[in-house]
Amino acid sequence: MEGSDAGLAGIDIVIVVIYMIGVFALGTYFARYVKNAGDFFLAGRALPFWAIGMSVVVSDIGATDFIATAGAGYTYGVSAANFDWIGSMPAMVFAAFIFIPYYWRSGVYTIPEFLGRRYNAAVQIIHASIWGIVLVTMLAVMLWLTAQMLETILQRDFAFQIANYEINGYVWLIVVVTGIYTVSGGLSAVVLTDVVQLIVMFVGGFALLVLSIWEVGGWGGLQEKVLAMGPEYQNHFTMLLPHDSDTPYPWTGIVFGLGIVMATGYMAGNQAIVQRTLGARSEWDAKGGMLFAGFLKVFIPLFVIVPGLAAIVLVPGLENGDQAVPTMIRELLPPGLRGLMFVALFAALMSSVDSSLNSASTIWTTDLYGRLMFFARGGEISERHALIVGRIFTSVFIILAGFCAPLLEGQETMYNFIQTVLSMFQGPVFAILLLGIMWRRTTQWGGLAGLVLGVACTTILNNTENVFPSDDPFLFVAWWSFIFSLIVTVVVSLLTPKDPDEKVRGLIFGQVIQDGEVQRVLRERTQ
Amino acid sequence: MEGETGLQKVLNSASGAINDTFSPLLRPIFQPIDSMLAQIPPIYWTLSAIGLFVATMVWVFMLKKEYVCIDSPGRGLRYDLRVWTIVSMLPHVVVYLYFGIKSL
Repeated sequence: MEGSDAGLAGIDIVIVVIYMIGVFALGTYFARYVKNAGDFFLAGRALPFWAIGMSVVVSDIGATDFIATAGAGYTYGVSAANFDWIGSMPAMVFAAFIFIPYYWRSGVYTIPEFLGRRYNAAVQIIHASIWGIVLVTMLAVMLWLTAQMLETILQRDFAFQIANYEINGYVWLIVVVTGIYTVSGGLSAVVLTDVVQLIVMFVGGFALLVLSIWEVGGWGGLQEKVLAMGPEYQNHFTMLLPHDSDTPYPWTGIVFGLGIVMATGYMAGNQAIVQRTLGARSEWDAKGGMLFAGFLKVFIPLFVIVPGLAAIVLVPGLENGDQAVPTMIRELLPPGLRGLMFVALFAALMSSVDSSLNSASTIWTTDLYGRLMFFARGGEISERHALIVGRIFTSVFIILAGFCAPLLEGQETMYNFIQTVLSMFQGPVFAILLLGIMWRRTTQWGGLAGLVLGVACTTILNNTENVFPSDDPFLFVAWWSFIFSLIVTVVVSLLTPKDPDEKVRGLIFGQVIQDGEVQRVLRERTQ
Repeated sequence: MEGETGLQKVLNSASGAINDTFSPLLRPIFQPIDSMLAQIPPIYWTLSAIGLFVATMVWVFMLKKEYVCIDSPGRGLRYDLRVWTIVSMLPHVVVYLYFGIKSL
């Protein structure tokens, strides 16, 4: 192994500087095309499939996923790859052919906006508030986790002290560069910089993969050496683990909880993912973008799980699996390649930050501020007004995240709390989205009850011990809360009066897909 | 617990109350299901995973071509999103087959 010193060499810093200048120039270039809210939030509906696909992948995979997924590979083996394989592809196909065309044709900006139209303002505001707060908080969490990652790679302490200027400098560099191009260029800048960031991420990931495999003597050598490490590694090359195994990834949870509920709920209900497809230049591009993203996701576990497995052999005995990739970067990569990998992690981080930032701003502008103005003034806000407010929200959120990131030091509970809040909503929201789209008889009260009681069900299941075989049963919780919400929504809908035809016109899948008159009206709205 | 923050204290006491109330009610419901699922042989784990991919591909082929390929920029197989679905999903199926066969 190279056994290099900590820190970046001159060549690494040059690579980082070139990358930052390039991304900044590309992102701000798109400011000239932003004239109204549609341009800012939906890229003027001009995005091609390849840009959407690449953007979806990097929005989904952040620098922290790089670290955490590799850490899961180190701790649990190849079963962690399920999240990018069965936990993505089938869901992306369902999203491409059911949800995306439907959102695209109904001309909405956000998922809460759809829920508001299909159900009522309460459902819209509950969903928008949760996602609005989670997305903004996640910005600070992403920056904080990245600072921790830099701390491991560079072996520095993260705190806003003069002695630690280096890490703070990198974090604020990301805040400033990402903030400026997202504020000025909107979704076009976000998506087109994502394209560059995906290429950089793949090049860096490929370099780490090749070096890891080389060091351990190939795939065969890797398996042989890991399996020889002891009995606790015997399941490290098993993709589907027994139902009663004490890991977070038993096969039943993977197939049902992840493959059917969590993944589909995420791909169809996550604003940061869906927003790219809403900016497509045609419905074919929106669908094709999701399928292309699914294809690209085949490669992600190769870049993260394999280095995680190689770390078991190359840097054994780590206290925490999450240190695997940062330690490998520090120990394994020579100057130049270390800068490339550093930039790849920056690319992964910035692409997730810009996506969350743009989506948070869209939700706050459309669903919260827009709703408030509607109640206060009795009318929709203008496109120009929405653009100005969207840019203000974007600026405030990124600056706030930069200042709040160091405050999260020692507040792991906050991070876990946010993750838990997000996971609590996934099953119930997917249930009401699915029923709202597919079943005409679903009523506004059915949707509200399904959402509220579904979240209550998740809370109970998350806090009861010895009910499921695993100590971390989030996949089972997602599945059962989804089933519970489906049942509640159906029962309450059947017990409450049917919503009038005018209210649901153009909001039911069958009408949107088959009714010629509805299609004509919707097509006019999106042109 | 020493060093607990205010938020942690509130979350822990709420969690304890929920556990005390609902665990005795939920265990008799879920434990028979868990026992049944734990008996299923490994070949069916792999078949379930591959089945999800195959069922999704079959479903896409059951959709009308006009719906799947609406707004397509051209004709021919390379613009047919049903073909894209197969091409995107096959590598995933191969991976599950590889690991499934290996673990048998």
